[in-house]
Amino acid sequence: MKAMEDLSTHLRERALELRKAKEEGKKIVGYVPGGFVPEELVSAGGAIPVGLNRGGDYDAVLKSSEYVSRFLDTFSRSQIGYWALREDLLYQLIDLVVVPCTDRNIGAIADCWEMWTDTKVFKFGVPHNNKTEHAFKYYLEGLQLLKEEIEKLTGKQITQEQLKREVELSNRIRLLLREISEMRKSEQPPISGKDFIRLNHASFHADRAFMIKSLESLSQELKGKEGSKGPRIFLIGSSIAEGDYKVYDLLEPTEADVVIEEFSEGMRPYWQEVETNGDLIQALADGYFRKRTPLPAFFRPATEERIDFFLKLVKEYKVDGIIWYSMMYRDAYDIEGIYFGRRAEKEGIPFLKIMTDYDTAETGALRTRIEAFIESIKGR
Amino acid sequence: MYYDEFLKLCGYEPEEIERERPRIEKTFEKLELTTEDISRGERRVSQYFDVELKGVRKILGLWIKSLIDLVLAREEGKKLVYYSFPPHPHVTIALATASKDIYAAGPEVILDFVMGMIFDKLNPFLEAAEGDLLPPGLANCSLLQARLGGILKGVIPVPDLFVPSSFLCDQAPKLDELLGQIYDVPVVYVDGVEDEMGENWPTSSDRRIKYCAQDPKDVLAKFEEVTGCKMTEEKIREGHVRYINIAMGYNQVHDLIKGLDFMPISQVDLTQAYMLTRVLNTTTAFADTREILDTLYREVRERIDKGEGILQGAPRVMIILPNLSDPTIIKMMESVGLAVVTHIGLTTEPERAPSKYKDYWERAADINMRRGSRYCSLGYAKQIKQVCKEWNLDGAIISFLFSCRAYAIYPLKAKELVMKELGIPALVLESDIYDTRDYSAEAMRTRVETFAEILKTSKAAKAE
Repeated sequence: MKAMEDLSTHLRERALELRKAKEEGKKIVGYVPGGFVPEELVSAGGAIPVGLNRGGDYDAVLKSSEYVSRFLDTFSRSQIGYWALREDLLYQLIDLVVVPCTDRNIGAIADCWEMWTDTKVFKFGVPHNNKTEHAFKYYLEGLQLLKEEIEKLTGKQITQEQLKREVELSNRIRLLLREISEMRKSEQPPISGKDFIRLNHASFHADRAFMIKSLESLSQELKGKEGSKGPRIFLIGSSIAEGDYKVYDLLEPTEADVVIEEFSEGMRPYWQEVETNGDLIQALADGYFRKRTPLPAFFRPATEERIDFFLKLVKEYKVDGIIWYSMMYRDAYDIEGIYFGRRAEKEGIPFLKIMTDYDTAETGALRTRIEAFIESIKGR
Repeated sequence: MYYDEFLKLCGYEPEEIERERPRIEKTFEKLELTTEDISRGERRVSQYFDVELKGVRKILGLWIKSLIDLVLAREEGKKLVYYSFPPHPHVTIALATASKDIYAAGPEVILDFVMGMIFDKLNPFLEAAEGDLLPPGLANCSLLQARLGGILKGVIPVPDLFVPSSFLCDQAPKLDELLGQIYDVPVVYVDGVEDEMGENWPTSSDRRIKYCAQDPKDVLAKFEEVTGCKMTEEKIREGHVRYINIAMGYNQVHDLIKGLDFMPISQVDLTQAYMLTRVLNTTTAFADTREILDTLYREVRERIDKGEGILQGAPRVMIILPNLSDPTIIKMMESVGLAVVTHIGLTTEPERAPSKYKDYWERAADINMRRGSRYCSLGYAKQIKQVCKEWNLDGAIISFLFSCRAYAIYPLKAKELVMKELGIPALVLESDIYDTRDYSAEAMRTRVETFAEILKTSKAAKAE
């Protein structure tokens, strides 16, 4: 697919482009992509948003142990490890890092960057409940503070007009991703699970205008295209990092593929858009927090609402089996995975719970389990 | 009966045993405590606790009474409310003192102490939980495993209301949410946000205080709805006064240790007293704790006056969290010549600044959220350094709870602050204060022994 190729070329050059932009005085704002930090606010302030989302590399996990205990979740440790390894340019360009302090694992990224780096840290407190007025107010105030922080960083006032333009860009990205995702409802999805998630990952640091063009071209290319037919998998978990494609790669030889996925970090929530009328900060709070779909597992309560949403997706995407993909030590997701497994069993949906610490040594065992799972689906 | 001597060792009076015998037996039966277990408990209590002191014996008894009240609460017609750890003290005292018809507790702590510390029979509870929602090998919280295991084994009743702390901890609110679904029990959360910068410790932002002050009010409203017990301001105030009184009772004992160069009482005994006042916020424990603490104070005072104690001239160290389910770890530290004089549970000077807030729940949030662990990792590291400084310690044992994500972040920074800024040695020790299957005293001994030697040498050099 030409659009994918063009996007890959763009991404290869992107880090150097960002370095050049930085040398020319642009500010780079790193953030943990989990759908709580509105990148449009960063862009509206004249800074460049960059999602810190690398993963799948055990070296980064190991390196993090110089700073934190090994009993934090793998994704969070990686975000500390990539900074410490000093090998990935993206992690070294950051002028300000914005971390949504959602649960203790993601909050640890903020704490570690605060304790061990010279980079300025903005801890963006996210309450664990989006139903109460006081929680909404807290999130809204957090956005105001973030806006002020970005303005201070760039020396530029964020105007309503600029913000509106950026929200529209982000809405366009969300809409296009949703459209492409929904194409996977067809019997023979025109795009593979791995390509779809890579699109998502690309959107966290590609130039936003370029990203939209790529998605539009791709959307056109995919219309009428038919992909392969095989067992249809719903992949669920806490984080899916850029580079963490092990499950996709292990699924490939089995002819199964991911047709829908849900992750709290590493994906862009695309089920809802942000209103572009009225007070836009309020609209961002509404879109990113109050209307967040689905809720992450670390919200309280969240599970029943999440399960209802998942079961709806199972029907819409004609899912044959669910793979629950947990990061080691991500407790809220691990416990919920066990609970959901029981529900899935009651509903007659094949369910497999696996776990990763990004260690290559785990690949063999994962392969066996995934292959056996897919075989059992095929045998139904 | 086979358990009479054991209970006397735990501060029970003979007539109390007679009066309580049916309840005791029913509870012991539910706990599957055999004569062998009681003998082991008796041996452990004699070996690891300072049972010469009446105060210590009475505190042991209070833990056991709390467990009996907890186990029998449902069949004795009480409503049950479970909060989780770390507790929001202002909320838990309000719940625990609300009514005699309601039993409020963090049940896992009671199980840990009685079944772990005393009987060394906690593992079946942990294993039951490991076979269910909290499997082994994933650093699941062993304190919560005790809660889940207790419920699964039918030892502790399913409550009428769960009130998990939704600040600091992610696992308790998730577990309670699911237990609420499974057992059809309402859950109400005491939420918080952890977005403070360490440079500001211990001052919280105004908006954080306002946010954290809201949920306790919602908790009390839900509590009223579920239990039918009206929570008046007067009741809340009464509970608070009682709590402060108890906390002061403990502080007076702890403060006795501060300037000494020997230990008139082991940290094992101090810990059980501390936990009693700050953690065991149960309906039982609120009844007569202050009197017991006053007894302990008098006894320790007397020993100090006579110069009686252990570890004369030994290096004085802090530990982050003393063990709640196994006395042998602190005993091992003492046996290698370390005086474990304090821990992170106590309030440091910067945290004692008066609150500017007038509203009760805002003031409560202000005080509660100043604690390093609820603030941010750098704040926590600074709090540890502050304890070392205030107590003029020779070293710090930064023992972190491996299964708690909040405690996984600060240890290396705390070590750096203590060593660089105070110039004293620090040892980071991976541990589990609620389950010693993987972190036993013997497994830690070599490292602690070496650390003790370093401290002794360093102390001797300073003295020259």
